[in-house]
Amino acid sequence: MLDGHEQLSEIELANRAVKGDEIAFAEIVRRFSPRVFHFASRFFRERALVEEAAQEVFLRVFTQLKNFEGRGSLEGWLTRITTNTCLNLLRSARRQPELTISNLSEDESQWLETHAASISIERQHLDEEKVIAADLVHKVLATMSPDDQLVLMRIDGEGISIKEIAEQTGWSESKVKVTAFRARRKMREATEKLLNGAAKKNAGAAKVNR
Amino acid sequence: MKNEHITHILDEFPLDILNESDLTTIKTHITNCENCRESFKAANVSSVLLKIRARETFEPPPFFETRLMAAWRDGQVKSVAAFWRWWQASSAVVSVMVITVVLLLLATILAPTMPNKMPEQASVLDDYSTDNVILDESNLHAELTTNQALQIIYEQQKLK
Repeated sequence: MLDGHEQLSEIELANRAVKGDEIAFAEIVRRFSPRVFHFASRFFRERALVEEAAQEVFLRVFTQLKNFEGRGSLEGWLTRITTNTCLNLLRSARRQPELTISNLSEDESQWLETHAASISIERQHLDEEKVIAADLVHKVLATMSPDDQLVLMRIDGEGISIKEIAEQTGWSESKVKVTAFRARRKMREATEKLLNGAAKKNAGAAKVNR
Repeated sequence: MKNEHITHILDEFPLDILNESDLTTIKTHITNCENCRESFKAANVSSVLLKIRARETFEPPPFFETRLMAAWRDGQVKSVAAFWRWWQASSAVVSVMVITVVLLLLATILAPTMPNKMPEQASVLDDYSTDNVILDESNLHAELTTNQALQIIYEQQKLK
């Protein structure tokens, strides 16, 4: 169906797509869409938003492919476009105000209270617990700037290096470091507030039950 | 060093890549510092939460590529159609504007050059030129000697 296009190298595909070869472009989409989806999932939690971001990325790639000079990999170039597109989409969305314990669901504050004492990634066995935790962190991240969200998810969440983030964003390494430092502090302070809130809430509930 | 709070270590690197020395510093410090113990707990929770969130990922839906190509073609068709509609609606106005601009350009190029100002006007204007006014004023001040100026000031003071 793809007429041998799956055998072509990245640069050949890019050259053909620039000349208007639709099958070459479709092959680029087929080859790189898992990565774009994976990346956009770091920024958005709803499938519809991830799809919208991925579509925007590929339409942008379509118009900017003539600027791809083939010095780096097509994958790296695409990741940069994905990063910038996702950051722009996040910037245009409204940021949530500061999060307090009253904004959390019962399950989320319960999760915090239960796991605060000794938490580890290995202990998160149940899918249901993971969803609660992911909902919770999504709410915390929504109060932060898109740049903060990016560095926290990529560096602390995925373990990507500062150098790679600098390449993907076009920022200097020192900017990535400083942004990560500040974002980590904001996230830690926000979590600390929620932990204190959850502890107080549960202590209050225990008093009422007595 | 042991009495220093450890929050800067918590914020500098992801918790899971801290070295043994940093971890020992943290553990020693939090045994005696309640605030830093709470901060460490929060940093730990944050770290796990981010890892859980990072494991969530979406795969491209079936036919994403087909739908994307259709959206692109649709966009191309729409942009051509939009241009055609715009041209149909505004071709008359645009044509008139282009003709006017061309005529004005021709008039500018072909019209005989005009002198900048009439000779008699120029002489009157020259008398009041900025240079002349400034020179006259400087002459006026130059006529006063220091003694004369002091005399004037003295008289003014006396009048007061």
